[in-house]
Amino acid sequence: MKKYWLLLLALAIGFALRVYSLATIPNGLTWDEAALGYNAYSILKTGRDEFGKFMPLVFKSFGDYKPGLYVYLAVPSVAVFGLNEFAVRFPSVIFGTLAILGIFLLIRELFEKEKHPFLMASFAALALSLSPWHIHFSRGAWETNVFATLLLFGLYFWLRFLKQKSTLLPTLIFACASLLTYQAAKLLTPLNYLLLTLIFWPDFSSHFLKSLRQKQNFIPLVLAAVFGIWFFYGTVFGPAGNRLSRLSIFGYKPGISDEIKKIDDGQPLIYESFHNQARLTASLVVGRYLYHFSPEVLLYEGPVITERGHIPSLGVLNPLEFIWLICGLACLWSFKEKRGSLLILLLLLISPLPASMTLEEFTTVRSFFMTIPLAVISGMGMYYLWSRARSVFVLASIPYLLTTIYTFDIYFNHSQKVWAKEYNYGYKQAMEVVNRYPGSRVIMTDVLGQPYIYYLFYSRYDPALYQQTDHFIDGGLDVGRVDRIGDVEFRQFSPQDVLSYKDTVFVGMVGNIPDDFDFSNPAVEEFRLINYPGGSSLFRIVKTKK
Amino acid sequence: MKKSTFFIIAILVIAALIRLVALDKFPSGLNADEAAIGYNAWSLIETGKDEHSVSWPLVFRSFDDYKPPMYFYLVLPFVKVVGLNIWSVRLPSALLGVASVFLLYLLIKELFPKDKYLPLVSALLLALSPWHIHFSRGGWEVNAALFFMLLAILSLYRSFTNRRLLFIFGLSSVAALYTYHSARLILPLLILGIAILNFKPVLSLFKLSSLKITLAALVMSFVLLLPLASQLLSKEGQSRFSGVSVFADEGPLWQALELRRAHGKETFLVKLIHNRYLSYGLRFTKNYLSHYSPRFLFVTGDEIARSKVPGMGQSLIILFPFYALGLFVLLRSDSPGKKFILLWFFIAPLAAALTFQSPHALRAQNMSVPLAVITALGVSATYTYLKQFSKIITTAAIFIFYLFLAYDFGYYLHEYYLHYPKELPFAWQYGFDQIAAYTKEHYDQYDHIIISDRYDQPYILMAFFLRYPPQTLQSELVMTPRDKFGFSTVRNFGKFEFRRVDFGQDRKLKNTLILAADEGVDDKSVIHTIYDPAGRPMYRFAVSDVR
Repeated sequence: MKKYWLLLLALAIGFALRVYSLATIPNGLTWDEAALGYNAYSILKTGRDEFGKFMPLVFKSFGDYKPGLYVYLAVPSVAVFGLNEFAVRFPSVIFGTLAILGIFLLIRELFEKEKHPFLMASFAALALSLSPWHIHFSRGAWETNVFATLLLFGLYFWLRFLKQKSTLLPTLIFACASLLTYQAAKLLTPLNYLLLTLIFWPDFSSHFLKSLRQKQNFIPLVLAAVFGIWFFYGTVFGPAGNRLSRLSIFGYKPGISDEIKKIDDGQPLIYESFHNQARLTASLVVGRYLYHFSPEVLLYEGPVITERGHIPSLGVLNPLEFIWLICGLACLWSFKEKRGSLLILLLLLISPLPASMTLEEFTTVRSFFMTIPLAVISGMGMYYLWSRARSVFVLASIPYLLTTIYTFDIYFNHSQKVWAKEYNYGYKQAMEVVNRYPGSRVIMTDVLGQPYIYYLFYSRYDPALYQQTDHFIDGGLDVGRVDRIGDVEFRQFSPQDVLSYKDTVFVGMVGNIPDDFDFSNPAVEEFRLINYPGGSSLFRIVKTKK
Repeated sequence: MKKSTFFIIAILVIAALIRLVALDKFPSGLNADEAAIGYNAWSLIETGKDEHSVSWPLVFRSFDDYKPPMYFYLVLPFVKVVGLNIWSVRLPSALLGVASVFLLYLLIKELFPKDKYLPLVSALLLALSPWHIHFSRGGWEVNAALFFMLLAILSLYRSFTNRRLLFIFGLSSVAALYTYHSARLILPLLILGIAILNFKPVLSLFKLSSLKITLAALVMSFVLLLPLASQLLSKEGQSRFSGVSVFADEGPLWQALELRRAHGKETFLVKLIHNRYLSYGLRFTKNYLSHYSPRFLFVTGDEIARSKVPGMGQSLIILFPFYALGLFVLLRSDSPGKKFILLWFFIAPLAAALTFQSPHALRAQNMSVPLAVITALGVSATYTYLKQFSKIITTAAIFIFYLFLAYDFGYYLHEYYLHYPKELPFAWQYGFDQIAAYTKEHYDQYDHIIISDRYDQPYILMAFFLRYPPQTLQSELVMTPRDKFGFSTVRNFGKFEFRRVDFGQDRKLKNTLILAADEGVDDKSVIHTIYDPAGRPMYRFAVSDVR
């Protein structure tokens, strides 16, 4: 039992940090969270998604074709806790906590020949349980988090298979499940498997074909291969395919600026060789790739990072994480058997590849799998100092502990103002008012995007009823929208419109219901203001009399 | 001739060509600090005093930023020989830059005696380093300081076998400390590091047989450093640091107070995590780490126009894989040479991180040396790996590597010579030679000449290009009170006045020539325009209405 205390501590801390105040921090739901939640509710009640499709593997949702596993994971959670924020996010918490166990298993297996594989693995688990990046994405319905855990277990069982400790079945299940979870998995899952195979090539080549003679390996492989071919065929040629190409950087041709053209005017050879499209695209990809390893992105607020993907005023890791990371790299060097170290380093280097080839400048969502190798390296650093220089370990731990408290204080106590905008704070509060007038007509602004899904979510709109309506407007290459559900319309309206309809709830912003609106007008039955935390104005709601 | 001798001569020729060709025209213009260095050196030659009438100063007051003196005295003989012009201000730095490449070659030979290629590759990569080239081209004190630092480190290592080199070590250390601020922190730390890494040989310097030489060198250095110590302890010496230090930015303090207020109750725990020590500590860490950002090093580079070439990082991006590989090789730190390079790599940005602008290519310029060596380690590791294959593959790989290197370096030269002056003409205060020439020609026609102070310290640039007599300037010089960064300037000498142009008021002055930068002037009053290298109007001369 004594052996397990560090792992159990990591699991306990990890779970606590992921589940504490889950429903209210971050304070709102992203569009995707609301959509995943409502589709889970719809599956639970009718077995069909919001479009009436029976048990789909890919959900059309806003037209972005979400891989479906997360929805099915949310079904039991919604059944137990009801359709609310907690239920939507809870599967992510579970998978985030499972990742702590997964990293422990993988590291123990990978470094089993070293002196203290158990201790190393426990430190890696601790590092992951404290990783702000991993915690943040475990505290929301982020498909990428579930994907990372599935891939982690998949790699663990693939390693077990290569070491002839396991059959093919478990790793194939995890690999297929990971494909069903997240868009970028189509690139990352094969790439990671390939990497592990190449590093352990002698084991693979001597063992793989032999193992196929056994039925329990052969049949699952055939099934998985059929599934894989069908799945890739569907994504490349199906409706989800063009979204993939739209997001890629290779379709982006910004052209060379006029200023540069003018400067090189008259020297076409020089101009062509130094300012061509290939160079520009290459430099964009390389630039994006390198961002992922920049301290300003990892350790403190960088210039090119969206607010949803990091801790406000901080980066995605503990600001002092670099202490462990440097020691961890030194530790990886010190091992005699280099294959494990090589695997960890290469996992780190390939994780940001898909994110580097997308249009968005920097996103911590797509490169999320980096948290795993980073946590391993951090854990190795802790282990290295713990086993070699205990006093230095203590010396480094004190400031690290302080910044850990600081980081989570910022996360839990000071971030709501920033997140309110990122997590669409206010939809819930507005819908509470709307729900009080069930029979009335509703006109609601659509400026903040996809209001219909919040209406469905917070009114627990009957899925069977909703499936019969068809108001989805295809957005072409962009996401689509829904402009009405029964008497509820989602559109812009002018201040003049407000008093011209009777028995109607108007939900607008300052442009629809201006500051000088006359609320004392006898036609107004109720007036409500919904502000962001911190005070700035968000929604204004007017209910007119019958 | 030995093969390596041939190669190092070739590398030095390349380094010299890159650093010397058209040095007066690129960077285009002359910045205020360079002008101050040149003018004060000239003033010393002519009168024995600087612009503030101090004879042979050991610290130059200049714009109240109290510049270290060594570079002024390096420039002085050049001004004496070739006269007061851009060449004489920039040549010492450029020549010392070439010499630094050679010193690095010798140092790496000393540190890695078994590696045949590493010294040459390191020297080549420093010769081609955009970071090092940039600060070799221009009257940059920092680059001279780096030369003296390299000389000090090399002679310290060599003094383990040749005691007399301790005097060179002492003199060059002193010279480095008198050349640039950041060397005053970096060099002592490096020396301390060398002493710890080479505990035995350093201890043997103090053995009875060599004690006399060691003590003599040490005493000499300490005596030479006494004036510096008194400067640093004086009020002026400290004011410069407090103006740029990390504490000059009150942001972290306010942030801590605001976070504390958000908690309502000030419990012990709240005070423990929200206080000035932690928030400035985090700021310092952030500044320090920002220098290791691959984005800064390979993609975007410094933000200050004077220290950056558009579209470039601090290094050639093609070298990134070798840099990353070199870092891993270095982290193994299984030889004294690697340990020292790793140490330098960690120490290099410390001085820059203590100031509020970070990352800062200028103050952390000494980082270009460990960076070049680390990249060279990566290149050399790759070469060692390739050697196990057949010769054709090795040769082809080397050929491809040099092809890509040449292409990327060509891109850098293209950006430096063609794009830099045209995209960032203000970076080097382009145009003051033409402004001076024009005002000199028409000096007698006007009672009064107003020069816009839109860009840094126009008075010194005018004094430089007009060759304004130092005796006269000394007698006329009045400094303004310091601004919030601790700088002062001169508002007038002779007929000149330096201030912001307000054309609505200024046009009413009698018989006045007005030089406006971006301030609005009446097009009808403009009599002469100065264009930037890209052909856009940059400065306009206007005349007042009353002649």
